[in-house]
Amino acid sequence: MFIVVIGAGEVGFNVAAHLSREFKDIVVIDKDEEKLERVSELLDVRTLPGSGSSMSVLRKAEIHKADILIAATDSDEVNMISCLVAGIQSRIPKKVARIRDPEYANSARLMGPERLGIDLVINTDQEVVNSILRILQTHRAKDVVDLAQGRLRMASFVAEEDNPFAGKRLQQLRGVLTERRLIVAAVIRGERAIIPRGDDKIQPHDLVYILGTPEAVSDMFLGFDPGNARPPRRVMIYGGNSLGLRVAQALENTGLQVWIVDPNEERCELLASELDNATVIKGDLTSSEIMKEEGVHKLDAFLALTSEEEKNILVSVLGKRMGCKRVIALANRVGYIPLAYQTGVDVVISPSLIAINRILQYVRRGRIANVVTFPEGQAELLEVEAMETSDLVAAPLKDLGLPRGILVGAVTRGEEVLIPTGETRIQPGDRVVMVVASDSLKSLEKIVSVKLEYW
Amino acid sequence: MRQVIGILCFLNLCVGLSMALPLGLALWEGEQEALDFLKGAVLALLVGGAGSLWGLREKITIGRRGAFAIVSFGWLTVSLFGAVPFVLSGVLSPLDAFFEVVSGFTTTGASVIPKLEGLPRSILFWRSMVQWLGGMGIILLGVAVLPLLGVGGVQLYKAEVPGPFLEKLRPKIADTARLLWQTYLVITLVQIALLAIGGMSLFDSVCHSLTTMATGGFSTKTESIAFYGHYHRVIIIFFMFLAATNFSLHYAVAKGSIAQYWVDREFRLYVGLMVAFIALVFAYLLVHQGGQWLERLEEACFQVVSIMTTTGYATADFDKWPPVCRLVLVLLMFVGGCAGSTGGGIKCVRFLILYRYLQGELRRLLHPQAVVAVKIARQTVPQPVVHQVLGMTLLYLGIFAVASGIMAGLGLDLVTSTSSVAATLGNIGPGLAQVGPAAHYGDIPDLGKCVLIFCMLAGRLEIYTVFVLLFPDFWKK
Repeated sequence: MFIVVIGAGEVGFNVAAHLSREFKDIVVIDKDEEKLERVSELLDVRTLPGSGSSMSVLRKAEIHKADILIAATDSDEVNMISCLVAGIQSRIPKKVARIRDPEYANSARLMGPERLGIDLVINTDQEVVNSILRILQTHRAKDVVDLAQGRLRMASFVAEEDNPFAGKRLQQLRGVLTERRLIVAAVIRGERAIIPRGDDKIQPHDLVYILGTPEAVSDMFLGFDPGNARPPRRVMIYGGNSLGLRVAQALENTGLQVWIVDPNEERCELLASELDNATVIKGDLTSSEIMKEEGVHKLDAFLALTSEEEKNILVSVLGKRMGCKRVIALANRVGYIPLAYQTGVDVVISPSLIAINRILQYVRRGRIANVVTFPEGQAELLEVEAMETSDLVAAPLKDLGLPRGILVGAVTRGEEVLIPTGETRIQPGDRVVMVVASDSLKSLEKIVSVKLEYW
Repeated sequence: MRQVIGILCFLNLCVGLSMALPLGLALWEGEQEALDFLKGAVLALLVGGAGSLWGLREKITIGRRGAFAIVSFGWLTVSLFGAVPFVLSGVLSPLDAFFEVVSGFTTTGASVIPKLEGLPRSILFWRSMVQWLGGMGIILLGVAVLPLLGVGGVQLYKAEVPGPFLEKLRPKIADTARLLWQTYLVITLVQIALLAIGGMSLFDSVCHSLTTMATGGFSTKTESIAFYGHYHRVIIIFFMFLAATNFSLHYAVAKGSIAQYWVDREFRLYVGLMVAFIALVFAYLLVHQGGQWLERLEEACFQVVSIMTTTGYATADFDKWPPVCRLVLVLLMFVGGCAGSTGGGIKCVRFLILYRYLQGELRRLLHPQAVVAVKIARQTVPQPVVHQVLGMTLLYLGIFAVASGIMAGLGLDLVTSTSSVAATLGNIGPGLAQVGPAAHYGDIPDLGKCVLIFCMLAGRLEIYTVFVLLFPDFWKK
């Protein structure tokens, strides 16, 4: 499969990194030669300097041979023009574009085959809002993802010393988990992703991913400290840009008490007119005095959503220190995520990670319905349909002899959700959620007898 | 470290496998050297196989440092193992055998053997085979067949393939390496066919094609190509010319149209220089030596093309030519072929960059505020590349000066000491005077041979790859 990626930024780089690990042919185009230098240093892909919206550059990239074009620059306009120009040169490639402005993104006519011909529009803002809502509702969770049309939920937490999971082998936990119909999907230790087996031990400070029905997952998180657990009521948002505004509106609608802070006076006026109940404050939360003044310590949650990721992380750390129960920071750069967790930020939300997941999911379309990449990028969660020809349906799970690095996390059969045990037998037509280490992706292809490509 | 050793051993495994060909030939011919090749192959296979199994168990991640180490030490160890059959068969002493094999792998073609007739055919074939493997690059072969390398392959590619730019024909480096080797193989096969059609024996056709396409210059005849008639000389001129042209360009032409050649600025300079110097030498020869003009033209063509492409075949003893012509040949030794070819020397594209750079410097003298970009065919050459080219050229000349000094210090005359260094550093082969086309390198003192071995390796790997190992920072953690 031949893929042209425009933009070597966070999203473009990481998408290229994931796909090149699967031995796909990739060309990365960017204006910035220094960024390209980094790409060719670290990845086995071809790089091409120039603008992705230029006819001649796209021709040089052999766009007529490409199966997919991914426009992932920082500019909506460049992304749209690139897709348009590529569409003029060749009808073959499917076109994926990241578009932030909701006015563009929501216009089906503009994106449709008659005009720009973009097959998939990636607008991360809406998904960021949804994921913030989910995370706020799940006590203590680091990240919450919904799968299988909302019938399954995966959430992660850090196993602190006082956590009931810490220091236990999975065999010891099996009884509790099976009873609650939950499964440990993955464990991130430092920079390593572990696909767990019975004899693996959860160590303090591991990041543990739990998979199950949404209710079961929420209950489990509430069970960690029943005394303190209550739904959040008071939330402060720092950063009144379009994302901050959308989050504030969504939170207002669920009946929370919202404060929104922005240093810019005009922006605050706009916020005040757009929001009904929220308190708009003009200010800069960069010192502990101002934080105290605004009552950050009394909050249930503090969200730092400005466009400056470094500032978001620092302000969140400050807020945590001031006594806020939960701090959430927005960080685009995937590499900052583990760093931010180490500094004490409770939740890091990364729009680029969301965009990367969406793109990978699209590239592997077909029988693969969903893709979630774990923060360190060494493991992925895939939703696969079990084919009649696949090895998966041959025997009960315990007799399949699945290699280490592949785990069957959940099975949905029609409306029913199964959390599998060794006895479970997968039937053709089931949708199977699998967690796979990146280096086992190749062997997974054989097992599910689905090429991870879509033609 | 472990992976570096693993890949080094894997390369030797490849060399061991390729010894199967001369081994087969020796068995076929009933030569007793079969046993020597068998021993050599088994040794390389055992060491290479064990080392690869030990070193290549995990996923390979090599950085720049590892890549430089692999390429430099790879060439050294491969030459060591390649020399084993020569030593076992008693044809050469260990140092001479190592010199001969380094000269082979680096496609220099400087020989220590005074008389080739009477040598076993398997030994002659192995000499040619070694050149062919070294021509496109033994590391590139490793990159092509070892799919695990991934991005580490890019670092290896950059450290081995000559030229200032990284040219990727396909997005994946392993595919690029495979395409280059395929192109190389196809052109070689065509040449074998053409030579054989003209009546050269199949064995000689194969051997000469292997060394022509590698721009190596080992022959199976002591007289070199002078042994053959006009048809073969013309064919060989043509293929030497192809071999020193950028192989990416050949591939582009095969995919597109013949016009692709002329679009390339380096190719234009390469052809231009070649034609100009042929004309010059031809005119001088005609005036000085007289005789049939067509014969003189062929003589001039063959010698100039052979030296400029850094092949090193000869059809005339150019050591007896008038001084101007000899000087021209020595200067051409520094120029060499195109980047991305099997040829050696400094390479035409670097001269192009240097020329544009000097133009810019002169302009800056007149207009101190001017902002000058070094451009080739409307494309700006990035500053770091320009600096690399300047640095490499300086180092090249520096090595030439120091090594010639050492050679002269060993008691060799001026012409011999300078031309032997120029001819080995540029991977040409024959020089002038005592190492001229009618002579050989056997009488150079042992220390001198060691210096020339270093020159051949440094020249083939374009100086930096070897020199970075001599830089103390390289060894610090």
